[in-house]
Amino acid sequence: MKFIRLFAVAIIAPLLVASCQQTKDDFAADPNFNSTSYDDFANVEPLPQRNESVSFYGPGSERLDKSMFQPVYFDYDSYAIRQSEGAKVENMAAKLRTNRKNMIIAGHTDAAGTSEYNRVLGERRAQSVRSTLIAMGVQAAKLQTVSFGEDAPAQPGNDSANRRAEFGVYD
Amino acid sequence: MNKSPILSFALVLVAILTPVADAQVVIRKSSQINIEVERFGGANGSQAAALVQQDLRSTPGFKLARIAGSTWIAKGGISGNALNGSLVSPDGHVRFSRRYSAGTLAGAAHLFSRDIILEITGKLGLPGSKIVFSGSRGKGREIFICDHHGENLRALTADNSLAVSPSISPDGGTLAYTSYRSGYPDVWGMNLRTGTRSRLFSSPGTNTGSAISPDGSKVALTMSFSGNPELYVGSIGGGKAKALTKTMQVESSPTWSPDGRKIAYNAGTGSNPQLMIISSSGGNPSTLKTGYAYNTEPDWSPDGQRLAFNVRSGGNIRVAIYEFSSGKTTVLSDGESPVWGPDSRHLIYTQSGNVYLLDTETGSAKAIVTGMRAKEPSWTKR
Repeated sequence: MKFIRLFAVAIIAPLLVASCQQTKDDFAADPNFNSTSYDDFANVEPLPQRNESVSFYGPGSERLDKSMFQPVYFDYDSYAIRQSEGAKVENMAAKLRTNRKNMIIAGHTDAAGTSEYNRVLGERRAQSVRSTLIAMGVQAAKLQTVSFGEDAPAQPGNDSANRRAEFGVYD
Repeated sequence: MNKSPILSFALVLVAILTPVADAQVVIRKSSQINIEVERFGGANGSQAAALVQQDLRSTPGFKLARIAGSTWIAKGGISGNALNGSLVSPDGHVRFSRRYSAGTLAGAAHLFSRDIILEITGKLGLPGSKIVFSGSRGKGREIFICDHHGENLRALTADNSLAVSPSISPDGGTLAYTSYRSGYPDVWGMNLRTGTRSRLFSSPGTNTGSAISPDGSKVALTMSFSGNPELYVGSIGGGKAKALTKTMQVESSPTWSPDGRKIAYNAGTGSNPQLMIISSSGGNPSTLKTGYAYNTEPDWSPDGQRLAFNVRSGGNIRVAIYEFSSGKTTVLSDGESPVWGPDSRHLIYTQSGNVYLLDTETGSAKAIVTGMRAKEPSWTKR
């Protein structure tokens, strides 16, 4: 069983990275896409209901343990999980498959783009990590997402440090 | 019929030049509106008159001048907390006489200015309009409101959180905005006449990017509860919203056409957000070819003819305009989140935390709000 899981991770993780990059390349080649042609997004799982007694910011943030997992960093204006960050996601998946924790994934951006676009790009980054974890066997119901866009930088002015997803777990 | 070639040439010249010369005279005559604002009677009358003068002086085409036979006259008087204003045409007829009693004296003066401009030109100017934006005076962000020149600035929210992405309804009666006060990004609505507010959209994930429809009854926004950010249209009262898109891209920043039938937004898979247009009741979107790789934050002009938006060019975010009739994109200046004023001529945008007012015909821009870390402005359209 353990072998099968590891095998699945080993096969699926690179495929996901590859498929994200493929999509980006397709788009760049043909900017006049029709969005209906992307309806086959395979890994979409609806988000679970929120538990508002715990959150990433403001009320309930003291109940969140942000020390368990390291941030995952992203390339400029991209939500694809880059290969160098893959081990972090695999480590998260391994722990979340076996423990009883729930997790909030918070997506962030640098300040280089425009504000509202960044807010939604941050959400998409959080969702990229979420769908990868789901593909690695983590229950969708344990994973909530939130975006702060460019409004909560880790290091103001340091773009590469701010393009990230952060993780907070709670019981 | 035997005319000399020179005479024929001269006649042709006269025929060509005469109507053009006439037209130029006509244009020059009608382009300048001379108006005199008479001293207003009553307490604070001179302050109110000065505001009307300032409004008219800054409106293209208007000149505060008295020229015999071609001058409009604005008359006013203060009684209690109301301004009585009337407008007299150059031929001596009273065109309107109204009482402005709502709110502050400054607000009344701006409404009088708005009516003067509308009566004479048949079009809206900027006076009487309101601007909202997300700003900060320290920790977190709140939503602020001010007049068209950045005056009478005040906070609308005290969320002690991140209050961002405001949209004010075209008539100025309603505000929708994103607040993290629950710990999560939700869309809140506020009745600006009564001050009451409610949480409109609080689905799992991120709820943001509200755009109130021209008739004030609906909100277009981005929600991500399905597992991917998509565009939705819901009621201004909240509740269940209808999905406009179902894709694997990132959709954001909707803006309504003035007739409410279409919505423009940006969509992309990272790196290449494009401007899209979709029916506000759903269907297949079409892409606008702007010639730029990065296109975000569109705002539809009240006359329906243009989109203001952001492009990235030379590493900087710039303000651009797409004109529907020609399909052409023009880049105007550096700046973020441009939005149109009610005259479909002026834009406001932010740069380095300041709000700038830009005349798109002359290219002149000036800061109207400074020191507030301002971003994401929205402007009433009437």
